[in-house]
Amino acid sequence: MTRIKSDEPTGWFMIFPALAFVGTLILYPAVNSFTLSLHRIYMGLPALGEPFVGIDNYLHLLQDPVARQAFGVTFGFVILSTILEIILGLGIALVIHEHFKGRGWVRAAVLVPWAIPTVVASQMWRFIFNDQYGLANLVLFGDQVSLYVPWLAYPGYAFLAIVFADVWKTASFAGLLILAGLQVIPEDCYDAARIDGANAWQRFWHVTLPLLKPALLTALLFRTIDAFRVFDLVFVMTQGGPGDATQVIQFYGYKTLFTEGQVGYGTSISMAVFATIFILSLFYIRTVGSSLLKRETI
Amino acid sequence: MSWLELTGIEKSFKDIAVLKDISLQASEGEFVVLLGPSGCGKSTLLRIIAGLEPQTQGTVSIGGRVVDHLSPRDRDIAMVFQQYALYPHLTVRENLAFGLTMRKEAPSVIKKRIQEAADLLEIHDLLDRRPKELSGGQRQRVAMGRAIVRKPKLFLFDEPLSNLDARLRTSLRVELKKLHQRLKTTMIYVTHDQVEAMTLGEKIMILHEGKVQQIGTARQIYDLPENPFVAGFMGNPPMNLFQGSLGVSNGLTQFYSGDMVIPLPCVTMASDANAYLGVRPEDILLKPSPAPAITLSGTIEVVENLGADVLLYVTVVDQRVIVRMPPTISKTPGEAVAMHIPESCLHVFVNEHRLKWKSGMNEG
Repeated sequence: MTRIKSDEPTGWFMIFPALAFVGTLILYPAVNSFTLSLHRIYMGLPALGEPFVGIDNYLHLLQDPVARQAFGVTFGFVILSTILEIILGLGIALVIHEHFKGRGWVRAAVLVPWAIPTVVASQMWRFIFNDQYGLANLVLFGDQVSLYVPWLAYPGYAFLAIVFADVWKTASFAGLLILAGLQVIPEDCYDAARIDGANAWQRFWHVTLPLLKPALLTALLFRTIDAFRVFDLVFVMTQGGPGDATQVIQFYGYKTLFTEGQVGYGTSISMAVFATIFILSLFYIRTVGSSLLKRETI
Repeated sequence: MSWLELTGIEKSFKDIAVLKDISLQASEGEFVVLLGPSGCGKSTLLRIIAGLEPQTQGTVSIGGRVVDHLSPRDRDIAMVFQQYALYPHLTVRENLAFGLTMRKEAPSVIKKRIQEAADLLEIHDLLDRRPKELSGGQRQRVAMGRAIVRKPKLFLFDEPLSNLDARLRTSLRVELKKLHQRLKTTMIYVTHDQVEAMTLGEKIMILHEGKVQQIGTARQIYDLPENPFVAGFMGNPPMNLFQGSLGVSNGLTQFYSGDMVIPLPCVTMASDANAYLGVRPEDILLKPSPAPAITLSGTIEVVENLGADVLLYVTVVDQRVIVRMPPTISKTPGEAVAMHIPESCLHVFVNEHRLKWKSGMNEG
């Protein structure tokens, strides 16, 4: 009996570049970070050595009230900004899906905020919310300088300012994803619904929304995971302040690691974020992914 | 006043006129087919009747009521689409129920109507499936079911069979005919398929380039086409149609086309530069006919055996003539033949209009 030559070695050879890429740029840093998080390391204090401490850093993280607060702020930010972005994105998508004169320009204009680098946009919003020369105060109070509000100095306002800036910047991206979903809904379905007696609202509720579900879930997935990684907005606009009001977990991790030099503990915070996003992604891929795969063929 | 009446319908998109002065009358319960090649405006006309598209001019009245300013919802119509247009996220049962739910029918009524429609179309087993789990034929049945449950006054069909394969198309066509015989509701059916039109339509309206070419029964349209377009469009294989001119020579009307000259003793008409002469492939005889006939001689080029028929492609001077013969005929390419065409089977068109003449059955 002649053995059929296996394709396996060729296969491995073919995927080697991709494996090498993933290995060096993703797998190695992740494993290395995990190892770091199991040690106690202080930057600038080499005399203390780098003792292995097991899961001590993680136990500490569980009891760290600042970390807990930072997680709370982050979740609040994720939930609020994602919901607003999806709703606003849906609105944007519905508008730029319609046929009207100058639609191409509107579509391009809507995407401008998304194309601006986050750091630049954050800086812009910091100026807008400035207590003395900010645009927000000027628009709201005009020349009544006595009424001017130092927005970023109040915990509630500062948090909302960051949410606002994020929604401004990324709602159009959500809108773009949703627009793609709108475009695959067949016109016939709307015609059929009109003849079936559905009014505009009923057509939106019974045809558009259910058929848009896959696109909405995709947008939700992208936005939640992305919002969880929020860092630059906070870094530029508030530095986590006032107090810890806008200190999101990524910023806390950054501070712990680079400002305070607690490499081991800082890394364990990063690993916690990594794990959270990982679990979130798994959850989404299980639920959303399966519904995406089942996506109705029309 | 007829039950359904279209009066002077015009439709333009921007500056392009797609429908020009369309008028049509249909009586209650009639099966009307709008037939024409793609792009002739037939679907647009259907959408205007449905209220999905506003007409630029003209009036639509359904059941004696002018419906121009009514939304599709209030016109009491149902429509079946080419691409089925089922709601993909709903089960078949929910698809059928949708229109009734929108009209706030009682659940017991909805249940009963779905039951009736499912009985009629034999789709009981499909009720809990979703459209993507159905074949094309099943989807179209469901789409018809969705139209039936509403018990509308008027059914509109927009090429409902053209996405199906040939075999399924034939069987659904028969079912559609049965459906019409049972429901006795007025139906308007758009198609580009002349077989569908001939078999289903009690009245056929032929559209071309946005204009009505002819309205009549299948028989009338097939036997007495009004103009060269209708003559060439209806029938498969198509009518042999020669473009040429009429002239008088030795006191006899002659038809000239290329190098071919055909005497037309039956036509008393004088000369005209723009004329067509047509004859259907099945009207050509290879034996002399007792009735007055004209005779053409030619050479067989190709013999095509279609099973039930044999088609002969014959060259006459510089023109080609298709002859349809029973399969018993035995002819070979290269053979010379004499073709006899009874005068009553000749179709003569002058200036794009059918010429009526004294003798024969062709008198319209």
